[in-house]
Amino acid sequence: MEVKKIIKAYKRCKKERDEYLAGWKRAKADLLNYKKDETDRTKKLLDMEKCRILAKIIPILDNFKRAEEEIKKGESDNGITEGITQIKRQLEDFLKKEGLEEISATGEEFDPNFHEAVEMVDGDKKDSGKVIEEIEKGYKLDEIIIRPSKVKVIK
Amino acid sequence: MSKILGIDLGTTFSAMAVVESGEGRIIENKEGARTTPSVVALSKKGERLVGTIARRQQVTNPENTIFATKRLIGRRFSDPEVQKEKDGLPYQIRKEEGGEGVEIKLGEKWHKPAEISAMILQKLKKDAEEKIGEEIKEAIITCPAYFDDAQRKETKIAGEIAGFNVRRVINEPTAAALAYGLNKKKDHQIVVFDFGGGTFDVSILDIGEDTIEVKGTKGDSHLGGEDFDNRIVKWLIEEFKNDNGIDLSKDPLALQRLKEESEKAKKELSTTTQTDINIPFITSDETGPKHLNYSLNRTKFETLTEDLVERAINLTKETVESSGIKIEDIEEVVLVGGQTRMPKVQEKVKEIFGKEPSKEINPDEVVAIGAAIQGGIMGGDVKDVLLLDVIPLSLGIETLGGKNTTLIEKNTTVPTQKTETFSTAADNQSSVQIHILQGERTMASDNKSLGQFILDGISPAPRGVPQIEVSFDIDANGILDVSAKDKSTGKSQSIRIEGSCGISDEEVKRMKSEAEKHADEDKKKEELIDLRNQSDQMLYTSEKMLKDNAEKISEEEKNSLETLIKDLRDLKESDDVQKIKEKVEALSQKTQEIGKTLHEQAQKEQETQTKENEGPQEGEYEEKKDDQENN
Repeated sequence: MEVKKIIKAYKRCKKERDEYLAGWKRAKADLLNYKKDETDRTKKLLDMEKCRILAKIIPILDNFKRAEEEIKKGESDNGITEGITQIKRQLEDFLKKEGLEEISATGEEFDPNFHEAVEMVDGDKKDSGKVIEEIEKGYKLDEIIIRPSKVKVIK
Repeated sequence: MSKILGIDLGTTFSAMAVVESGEGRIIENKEGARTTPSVVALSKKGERLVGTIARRQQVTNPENTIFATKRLIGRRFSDPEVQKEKDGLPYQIRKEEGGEGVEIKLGEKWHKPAEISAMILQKLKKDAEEKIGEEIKEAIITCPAYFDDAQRKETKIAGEIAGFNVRRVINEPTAAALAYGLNKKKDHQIVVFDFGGGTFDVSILDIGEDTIEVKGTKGDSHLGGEDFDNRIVKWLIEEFKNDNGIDLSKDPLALQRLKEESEKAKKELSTTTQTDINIPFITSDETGPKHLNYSLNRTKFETLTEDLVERAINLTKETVESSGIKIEDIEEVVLVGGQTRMPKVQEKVKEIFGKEPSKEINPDEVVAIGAAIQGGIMGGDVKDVLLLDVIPLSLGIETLGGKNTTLIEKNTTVPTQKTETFSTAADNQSSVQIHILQGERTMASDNKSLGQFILDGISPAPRGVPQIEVSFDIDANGILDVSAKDKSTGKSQSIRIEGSCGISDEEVKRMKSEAEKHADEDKKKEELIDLRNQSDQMLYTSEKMLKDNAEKISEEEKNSLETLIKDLRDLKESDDVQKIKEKVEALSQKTQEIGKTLHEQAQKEQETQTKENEGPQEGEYEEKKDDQENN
């Protein structure tokens, strides 16, 4: 009778031990996996933060480009023109070094993965669906689209 | 066990979440965004596009870009709402063949609204599975409280077509209440104020024993955040016209820039009281380029949008009245939707209900999180989950000057272990007292004492030299073991405190609120203790300097140093922080001066010695001091 009791207790203990060991292993694995996930998450978070800041800088570059266009129209040739173009280039260089890439648009097939259509315009029938004009340049960082190109598409 | 996805299937945007370790977490879509536009399109190449990509090509393909299907789902074609929407839609809809419902044309095929919604849900499912790395079979989907049976049924069908086993379709306000854990508060009346991008809804909920009942709901399906942006756009156009005589509303590109900047300005005005709207080269005339630059303050913005806020507030009052519940019986108000970030909206809501609304959870995400929590409750097989406790109050020891030095911060998950090294406060101190404290207050005496012991037999050494390692170890049952060990002799002493977590909830609450109440005062006290400790250290070094260099310091210097030492000693126990600081500073300056003179003297002596015998020199050593010292 006693032996039976002991065997029963032993079996229960063994079962519990197995359960606890499995739980412990699981907890350790969870921690290791969490650490790995956390590293990925941190990297993604940093990328996201970078994208967020770049997205705020890009409109400033847009305005420099607009200023440059206007200056060209006026054809005034003095040191200030050159200076502004240089500031623009400096900003472009900085963004490029940070990994920012321009998205090509004009003349390409309209692709909503990279382009956002703002208007449909008349044009050559054979070029239907192609981008005829870029209203605002699009940018990407690695595979992340920071801002799609805003484009006009041929009907 | 596979996860249950909580989905907020919105008119303009959708969001999804899952429960992880008991808490709702938003899942980003493949593009990395926390919300997905509820838009479906069929490209000219016959490719199905969903979300942001579908929206980007809308202009090129308006008749095959379907949005706002939520306004059509489960409705009859003859419903006045459908007839009203019909004319404004760029895509085609018709009466269902052989039925009363609505059908939408996408490509060459006619689909039921549920099939279109299913395409959105399918994308969410796929993206979530990719993100989580496992198949998701079950979902909880939310719908507005005013949805009837047919609309709910269709929403469920949409989920099923997408491949989900839809465990339940729940009300959006109910989900919001769940996200705030309000289901645990029985016999509660709550208001959910949902002011989104395109729609406004307000609901009154009654939380019972096991149910959450909607007592009343009203809304305006065409009142939302976008209207607020448009008011800024309109104002800018008028101002610009007055100043420059140019009408920007005719220029689609200028209009687009105005819209973007207006939305940005609106968002900024939720946190700042003034913002600059700056759009260079917005247009040009014969005189050259024109720039737009206006400053908009919060008051002006509130005037521009006063009637919009008023409309929402009036609807809220009507809903409460018709529900038969008295305003003073409403215990909680929950804010949902991005527009509730506007301070004026929050202020008005507070004004009606006389209480601060809950807004801690991101209002754009709260519904999806609530849906995920409902999933967590339904799938709530907690048998395999090991519930881990946290310590409610910080644990620490008393250090020099009667200060409470925390070792384990409150809310740390147990079991856990923490070790820190301390030292002695006086020369040749042979024992240290370890006094274990529980609480958040700065002064040891303001906290709960859990126990104390003495570690003796420390070998004689100058203050700061012995290293006493103090370890705190709490097991899963909250039993705390504290041990102290003298690293040089290896001698140790320990104490076991049972029930360090077994403090009543009321007591924890009281101690926490006391800590908050006294936070400022405690900070000042802490500064004073630190300053006194610094004074002690200063007195110790200067006295040592006097003793060690008695013969090298001039009588005059000696007198002035002694006076400064006496001054600081007399003053250091007072509460005058400023005066103590001045005295410490003066003494520090004096010791530095003397130190410099001594150093120069030593150098001179050395030079003469080197000249006498060109032998090797001995290097200089500086003693390392510990910051924290134990008494």
